[in-house]
Amino acid sequence: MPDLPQPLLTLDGISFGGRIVRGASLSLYPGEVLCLVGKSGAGKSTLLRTAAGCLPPTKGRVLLSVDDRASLSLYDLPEQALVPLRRRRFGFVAQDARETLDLAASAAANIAQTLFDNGERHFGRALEAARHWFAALDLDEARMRDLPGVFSGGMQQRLQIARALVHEPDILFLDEPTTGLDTSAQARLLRLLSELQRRTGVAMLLVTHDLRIARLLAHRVIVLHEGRIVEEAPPDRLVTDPCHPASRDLVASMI
Amino acid sequence: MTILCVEGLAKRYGDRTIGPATFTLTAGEVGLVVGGSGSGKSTLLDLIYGTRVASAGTAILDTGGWRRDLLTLSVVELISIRRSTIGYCTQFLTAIPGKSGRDLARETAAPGTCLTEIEGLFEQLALPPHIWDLPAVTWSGGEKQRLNIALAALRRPRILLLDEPSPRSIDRCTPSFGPSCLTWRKRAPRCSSACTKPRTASQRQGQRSHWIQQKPNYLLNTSRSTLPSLRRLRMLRNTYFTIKKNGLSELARNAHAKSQRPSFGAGTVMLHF
Amino acid sequence: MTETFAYLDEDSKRSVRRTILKALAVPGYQVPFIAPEMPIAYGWGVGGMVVTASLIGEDDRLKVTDHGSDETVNAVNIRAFFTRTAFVATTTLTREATLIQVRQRVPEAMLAEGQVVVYQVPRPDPLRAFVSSAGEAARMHAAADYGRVYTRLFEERTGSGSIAQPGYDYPAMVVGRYLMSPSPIPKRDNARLDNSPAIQIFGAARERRLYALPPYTRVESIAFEDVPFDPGYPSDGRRCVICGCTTSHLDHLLLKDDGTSEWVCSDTECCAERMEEAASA
Repeated sequence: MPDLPQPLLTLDGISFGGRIVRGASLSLYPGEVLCLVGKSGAGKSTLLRTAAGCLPPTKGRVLLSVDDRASLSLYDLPEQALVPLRRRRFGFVAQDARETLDLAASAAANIAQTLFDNGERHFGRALEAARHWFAALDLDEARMRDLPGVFSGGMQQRLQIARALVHEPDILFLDEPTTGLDTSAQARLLRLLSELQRRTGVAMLLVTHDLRIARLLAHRVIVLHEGRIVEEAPPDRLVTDPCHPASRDLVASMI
Repeated sequence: MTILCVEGLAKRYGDRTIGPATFTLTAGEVGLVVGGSGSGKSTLLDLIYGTRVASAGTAILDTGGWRRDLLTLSVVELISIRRSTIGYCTQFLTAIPGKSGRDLARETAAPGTCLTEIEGLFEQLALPPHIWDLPAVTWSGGEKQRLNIALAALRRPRILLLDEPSPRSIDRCTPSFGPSCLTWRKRAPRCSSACTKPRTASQRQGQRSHWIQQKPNYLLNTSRSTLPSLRRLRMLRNTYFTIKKNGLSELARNAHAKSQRPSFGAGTVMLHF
Repeated sequence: MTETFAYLDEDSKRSVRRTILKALAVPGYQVPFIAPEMPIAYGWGVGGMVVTASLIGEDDRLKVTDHGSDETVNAVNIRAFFTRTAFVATTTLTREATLIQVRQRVPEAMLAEGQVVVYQVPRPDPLRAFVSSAGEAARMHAAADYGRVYTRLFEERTGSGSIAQPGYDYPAMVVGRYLMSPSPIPKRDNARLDNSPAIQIFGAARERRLYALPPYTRVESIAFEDVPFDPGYPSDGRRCVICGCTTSHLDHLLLKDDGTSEWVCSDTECCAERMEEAASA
């Protein structure tokens, strides 16, 4: 049996605010796309934010591996250590691009900012990286100097992804990245995400309520229901043979 | 050498049970699951691949290097084993809209597969070059199915599960698919069972299909109507066994339906559903 | 109101002096301070006056400039204030002064060891241009998290910014650790902060922050590794209409009917010195 790698990120008994998340444990492996699915209010986004180091849980630990043996408990770190660690190793894509993008800065500056936040102090390299990621995400280079506010929803999402990947993080967190996009923009985004994932090998933790997206993109799917993890399955199994009633509900409501 | 040993494999749907199925697949064999619509052929393949959760039984995979019961794997282990060891070619293509067939193949292929190998396989599967870069979801049904076969094979699995390959797609594949299978067989030292292919053809294939070093075993699921087409699949060989309808227990090897023996080659396992 | 030396009561002065010591111990770090009230409105140099009042002694010689000039309303009145409340001697010559309170310029004359330069600062925190929360800005300083400043520089350089950095109050790094607002001095004056033999103290009364540079402190204007800092002063042949100097920092005096402009030295002391030299030569 091929050896399994060490998990990159481990959530150990995470609870948040009584009923929002209740005792959730999961591991994310290098190069894996893990989808969290569930109805709205199931605690998906809360769990994602906790995993991303942005929301301290009421109970439980989040462990990030630093090398083959050692791992760090994120919320036991002082903020001064947590913020740079989070910035260097994570990328975050929110459902609403306005949450992560700086609408007062140009699109190119939004990409470059991630690099500057990680200590880059070289103008030429930052500009080159912005150009590269504009091209990689099918964005028009002529619009590099525009403010993100005038971009379409799909372009804003792609800009967010560029911003989240430019520093080559280990884990990309995505919170409903395709919600609010029309179907062609959704397909394009999925295609880009899957290509980028393969090219960069970044591990992805993706929250979605849409099983179709989980099915196309995920290697592994976790179903959340009322704050608990009720099922873990490969996507084909989840849509073919869901075990938990909540999963069956989700599958039955797939369009 | 037994590569897959299935015992008492069953799936309950409410008060209806499919199985239990017991059979073994020896290295070099091609298994055929034959049965009417709704008899549970796809379920059997699904259970082995882990697309469905079995209610009872074991399915031991033995690659020579390691042995594991496929039904007790954690999800992460299952995914890892699928990636390296089991290929599944379903009746439907699940692909992100807009991805071209060539891209899909490139992404799915085992590490170290070069582009010419992919193109060689596409040619073998009679996929016209002008569609390679078109979105795979826009391909015709038969093309999609052959792409599915290509995707499953490019992972270089030890076992390839083929769910209802349509007679048409099998027809198209036959000229190259069968002999290329022989090539894998010829190269794999562990399989020494007699190979009766004309030397010239296998030599030709030996040069053309260097894209797979490891020989896969097949478990094919098909309906009775496709049997005549399958006869033309020269990879099928003349040992097979049947499984009693709904009983799913092994009856006999090398028995039953002597008339079919010349058509299917040695090493074929038939499981009737 | 009882008249005390230099207007402020001794307790307040002691408190401010303690703050100054802390600020000198952590160069560039903004120390919160009490900023007692002065009899003028915020924005007219209260922060600088509080620092001056706390430090000034009877033996000091005070120089006050505003935009480099000893003769503007602000400079004249602050000087008059300390003459009346602390009875100290005043001067317009940098070399004679022990205490120099300035607004929006660094003296162009050479500073010396033992001198103290006090700056009036309206906005002490350079990060507040990027974040609205003081708490977040404090966190960023604590973590030396200055990426956003470079984002703005990037914007300026790619010419896309709606928020281009103006030519004054250009942020500088103190000993490679704290980002500091040099107060609204022109960009080119930043170089004069670096490695200065004088003690430099920055007081912002409205924001209640005080920070300082001990003598010979390294102060670097922020810049990209591959794009050197540009002091941004045009050399388009403009000259002072009084002394004829082309290299000093010039203020726009008036726009004439024919469209040309007249310029005058911002630093009146140096301008006068050049005139004297010309007269004696």
